[in-house]
Amino acid sequence: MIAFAQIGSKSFGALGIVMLICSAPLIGGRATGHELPQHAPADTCTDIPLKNISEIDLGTIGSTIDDAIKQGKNWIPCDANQESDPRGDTPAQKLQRGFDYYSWLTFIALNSPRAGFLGTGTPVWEGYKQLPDVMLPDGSRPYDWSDPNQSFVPAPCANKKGMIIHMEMEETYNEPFKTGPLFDQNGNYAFFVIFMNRQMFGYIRENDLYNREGQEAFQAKQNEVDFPEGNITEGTLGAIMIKASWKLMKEGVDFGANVTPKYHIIDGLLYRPSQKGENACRQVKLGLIGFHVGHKTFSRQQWIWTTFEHHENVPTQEDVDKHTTAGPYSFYDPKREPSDRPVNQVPEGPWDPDERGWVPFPKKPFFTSQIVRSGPSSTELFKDDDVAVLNTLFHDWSRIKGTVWENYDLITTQWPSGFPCSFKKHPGTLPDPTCTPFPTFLANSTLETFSQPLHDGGVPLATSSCISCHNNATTNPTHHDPRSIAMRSDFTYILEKACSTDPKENELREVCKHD
Amino acid sequence: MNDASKKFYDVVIVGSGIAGGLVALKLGQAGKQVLVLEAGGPIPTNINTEMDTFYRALAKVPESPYAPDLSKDPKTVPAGRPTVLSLSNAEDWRDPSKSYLIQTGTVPFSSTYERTAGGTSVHWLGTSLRLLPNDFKIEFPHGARWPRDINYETLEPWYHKAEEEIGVSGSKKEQSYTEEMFFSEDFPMPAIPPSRIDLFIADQINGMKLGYGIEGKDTTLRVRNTPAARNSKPFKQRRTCAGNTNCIPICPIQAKYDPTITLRDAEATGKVDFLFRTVASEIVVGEKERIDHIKYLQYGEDGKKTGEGRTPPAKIFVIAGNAIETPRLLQMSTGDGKRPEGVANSSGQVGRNLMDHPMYVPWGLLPEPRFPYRGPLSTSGIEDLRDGDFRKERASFRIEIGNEGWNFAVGGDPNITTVDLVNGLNNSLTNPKYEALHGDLLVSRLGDLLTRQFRLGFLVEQEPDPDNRVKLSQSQVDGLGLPRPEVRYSLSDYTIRGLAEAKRVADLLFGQLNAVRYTRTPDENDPTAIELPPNEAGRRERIRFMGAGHIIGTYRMGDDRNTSVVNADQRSWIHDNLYLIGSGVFPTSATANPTLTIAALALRTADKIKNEPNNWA
Amino acid sequence: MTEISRRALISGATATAATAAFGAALISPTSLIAKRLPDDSVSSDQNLTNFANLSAALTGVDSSILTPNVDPFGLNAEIHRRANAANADKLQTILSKFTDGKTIEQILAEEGRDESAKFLMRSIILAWYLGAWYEPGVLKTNAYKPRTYNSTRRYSKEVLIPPKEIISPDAYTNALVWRVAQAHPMGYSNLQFGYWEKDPPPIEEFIRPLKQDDPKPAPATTDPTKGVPK
Repeated sequence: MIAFAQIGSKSFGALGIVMLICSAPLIGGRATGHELPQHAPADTCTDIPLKNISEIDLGTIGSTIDDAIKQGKNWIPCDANQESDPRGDTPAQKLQRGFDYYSWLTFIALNSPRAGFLGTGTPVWEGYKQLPDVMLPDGSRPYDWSDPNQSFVPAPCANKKGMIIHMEMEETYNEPFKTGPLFDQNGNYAFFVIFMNRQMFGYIRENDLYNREGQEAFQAKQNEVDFPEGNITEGTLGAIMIKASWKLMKEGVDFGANVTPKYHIIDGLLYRPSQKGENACRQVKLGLIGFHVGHKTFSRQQWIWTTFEHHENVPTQEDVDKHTTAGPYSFYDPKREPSDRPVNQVPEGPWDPDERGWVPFPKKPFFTSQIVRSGPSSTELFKDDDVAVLNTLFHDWSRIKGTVWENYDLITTQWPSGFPCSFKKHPGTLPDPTCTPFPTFLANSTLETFSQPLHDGGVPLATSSCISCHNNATTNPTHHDPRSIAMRSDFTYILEKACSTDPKENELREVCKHD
Repeated sequence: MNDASKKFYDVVIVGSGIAGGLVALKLGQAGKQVLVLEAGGPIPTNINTEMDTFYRALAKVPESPYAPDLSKDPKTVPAGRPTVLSLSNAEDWRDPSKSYLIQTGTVPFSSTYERTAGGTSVHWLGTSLRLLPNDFKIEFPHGARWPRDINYETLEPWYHKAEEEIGVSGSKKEQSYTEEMFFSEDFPMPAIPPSRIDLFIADQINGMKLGYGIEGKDTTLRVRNTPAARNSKPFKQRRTCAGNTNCIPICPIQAKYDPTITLRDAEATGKVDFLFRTVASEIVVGEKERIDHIKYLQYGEDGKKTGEGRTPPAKIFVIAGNAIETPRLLQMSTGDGKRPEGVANSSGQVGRNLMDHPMYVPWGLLPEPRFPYRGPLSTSGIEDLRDGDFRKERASFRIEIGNEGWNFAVGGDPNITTVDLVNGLNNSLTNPKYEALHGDLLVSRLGDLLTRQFRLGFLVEQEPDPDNRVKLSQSQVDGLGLPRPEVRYSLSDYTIRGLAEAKRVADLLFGQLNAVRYTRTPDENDPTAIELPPNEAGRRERIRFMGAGHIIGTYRMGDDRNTSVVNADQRSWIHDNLYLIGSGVFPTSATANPTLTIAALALRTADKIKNEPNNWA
Repeated sequence: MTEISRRALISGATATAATAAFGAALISPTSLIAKRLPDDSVSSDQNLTNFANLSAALTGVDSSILTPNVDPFGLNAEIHRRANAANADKLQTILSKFTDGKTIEQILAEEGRDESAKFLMRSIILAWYLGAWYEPGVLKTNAYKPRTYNSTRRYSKEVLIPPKEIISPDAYTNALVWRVAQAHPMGYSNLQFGYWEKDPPPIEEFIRPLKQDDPKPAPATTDPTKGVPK
């Protein structure tokens, strides 16, 4: 039976949304005569029973997901709303489990197509806007989200298909604050790409925050940057930003005839304006290795932060200590144990691909990073293997089992734990604007490679923590008015990447000088 | 590249501090092949270790995050340095098992430095003031005068380039004190906002006249923003300042510039190689007085010597150790006795004229809470008293306003005051009844005291004295067997008269602020105690001075090869291919923190090196 | 799956006995959470709650700040461990008198000439305030130093009495002295650029729990029958 329904399009323009709702058991993937429910557009969100998630026994999660999907609720959760006051008797462990469950649902929903199930089409987040499509070099207004001229396509990439990897932008190959690049066993860079969803983009565009003059004007009106938030009661999705890390896929090894892919692979375009001919925009295959999601919500004004990794990225410190490193790993060579040099070190400079003379799949000799996940394991962070158990359960879910998604693990979720702290607007005025992030430290081995926690924990401000670091993010306004100073940018560094409409002001940011 | 992999270099630089780093960067950018020798360890991958060490340090001195360990006997340390802790009592500064420097004067040289990637400016405050036009014109005896080619006008473009390179935030309007002190461009970043304490002091003090100053007898005092190498907005992929109040010793988010940033930029040119844990031990002179190569010793992470070596052939040599380590190296380079005075030293001035900015730091309690321990360590100062006719008679000074309560002044607050109130002590002098409190009373008393703390700093100019000098110790060596620096230091009457005026002005300001003074009078036997000339009431007061962390003067520049070591380009008079850079070239200590001037001169010299055709023939 | 109360897991109760048993210096509680809790009444949940309430009375800072519900740092357990290691009997005496409803002053008065309770309490206060452990014996020696002492040397040991050690970086960054100063730990700021130009929030926001925005009354954070001063 097929039913059509019009889903609330009030906030989202004239798009009428058609959804197929029906229920069908999914166990074993056998259709029982009903159409499978479609995935709702990623502009809206769901309140999958997360309120009660802390009460849910892990053993029932599989069927809970199936039930949710039956009800057509395979959407991005609006909020990971736990009990609003964690001073009740909810164990912190269960709160964490709730957040981790939220993270998996978010991961599934984001990697599902706009209307359909995981595995039936292009992940919806790949249609989000990339940073360079929003912060244009001349500071001009980005096109509207649904405008067909959606993204800024550099000339060498015209008529080519794929996700553009902007190598003219240092953020693409050098980890934040220039902490260093990451090289895989083929001598290739890992690439880092930043995306934002429609809500986040809309806020930037409507408030003129896409250039530095606009940021100055915004602040001059005493405004505070406050991205839209996910809200279960209101049914709003809120701002979502993503940082994805990619590895170049090798033909015959990662993809090709007779190869079972282990990565989520897309077509990519390696845009390098410094190179000539084909190499200015080279077609490549990219495999997803790391995936950061930040989601602004009503209950968590410091956002909710989650990260996933491909399980072949690196071994854990425990694996190395116990000599159980199996491999193959993208960023670790077990044959070099004990490591001939300390692990987790930055490569020697220069780091710029042109200075290094790097080409994709370079000839030997080339540098390869030797990286381990040095922080405490999930077993140590939270009792009873919670994240590992959760990962197993989701990997066993019928739409993930046997697909490339089975190879992706949730590392953990960081969330502000202070109550009622994390609900308060204007966190900048609080004694602790970060509201006690929990767990204290979090790093993705491909994205915060060089500031990972150590086995015993981490060092405040020096070790990677999503919330603590993003708490330092500010705007980057022009300074025509002497009162114009950098302001909090609501936990995103995207705003500081804006260019100016005045070429003289763009001296300090290389990409703003490009046409 | 982290080794001297090339067979031949264009330039060899000893020292990877701000001066050496900037020259390496500029010459690397110009396509020259550069090798940098650094006595200390490499740029860390992250600051986990340094922050951890800092958080656990019992005394959070400027050296606290950095290697080598502060507790080791200097004779076991391969690349040692002086430490604040060795100055913390009356004995240790003269005890070779505690003090790296062998101090022979009656007054301790009280500034310290680092030997690590990035040099001393890893722990600097960030103050980036320009010298005054008159600073370049002042003349002291014995030929101490800035060269004709180095004055405010000729150096101005280089100041601007330095401000752009390292990222200085400031206000052009506030810093052009006089018409002569023009700014061709504004600072690359807007001024850092003032603190509550700055605003209160401005409110009470702006408009005061003392009858002298940069604008003559009608000079009015004014609290001005201090330009600083500290981000007031995202700059070159580094974060905006978040007011960690920790500039000294380390900014956890690198919002404060430190030279490891320049070193990474230098490495990125692909033309600059580094040898870390490599201590230059001798500069070897070849034919025609040209430097041929530099010998060095190397050691491992465990501190043990691993070997010796010499640099490959190079055309140009730049020595950028600081004003103690550079003269040490020059004097160690005797060529097996053929050159007893050392390299570059026919003037006899190498090692002489050691200067600092002796600092008088009064502290007290403001009448109302103004909330210290917030914001950068210092955001404003009073610059109006830095110049005037009085400089014929006495040293001048600038005034720094501290935002860190009594942390710097007493060395260790808020711990001292807290322990006082909990354990019934009175080391802070704020607990005269020796009360021991807990609960609400503790909160209100401690809160009241801490929120009213403040301090000022008077950085006094010091005139050059040839007897204030750095020599080689004849008896004490470091962990590599190299002779440690022997330092003799004193303060002249000219400088002491400056300190006396500083005390007088401090008292005036405290009165104007209605602040209660808690500055302690030092013991008579405190070696940093200075007995001032009789004051207006005829009394001789005793104050103590501290080092400002500025090490100046020991291989000065000049126009006369008989009385100076280098010329205006920081090039040796004797050895054509040898440049000595850093604050050691300053003929006078002048009236500002030296780092921006070091940077400006370094950029200028890099340009000179690059463009001198004879260098590359 | 066994139900483990919030405090047992995250506030490090599991860790407490583990540390006592293994004597490991605490760097961060995360590394100790996995270790099993031996049967040890010292670190029982109730003891830790009592210790938190005692600490609140001693420090003047609300216990919900000393032991938040979700507690990544486990300082209460760590300081309790150290106090217990310094003088287990005396700590027990203090705690039982305190839970009986006696005030700090009363407890000290009852101790009379025996000063060990007094200095143990001072160690506890300083551990919370400065994130550093001062042995009670060291405090006692220094309390009776000749009062004519007069040194101006910065960082001199006479003026800056060295503690045994900084408990951990987390203890330093959560030290109460920074709250009482209405500031932030030097070297650790979560505040925004330019904050120093404005006054800080009032001290109540630093030492009392934040108020909720909605009219729902906040649950009591301390048991009103225990005689803990507000």
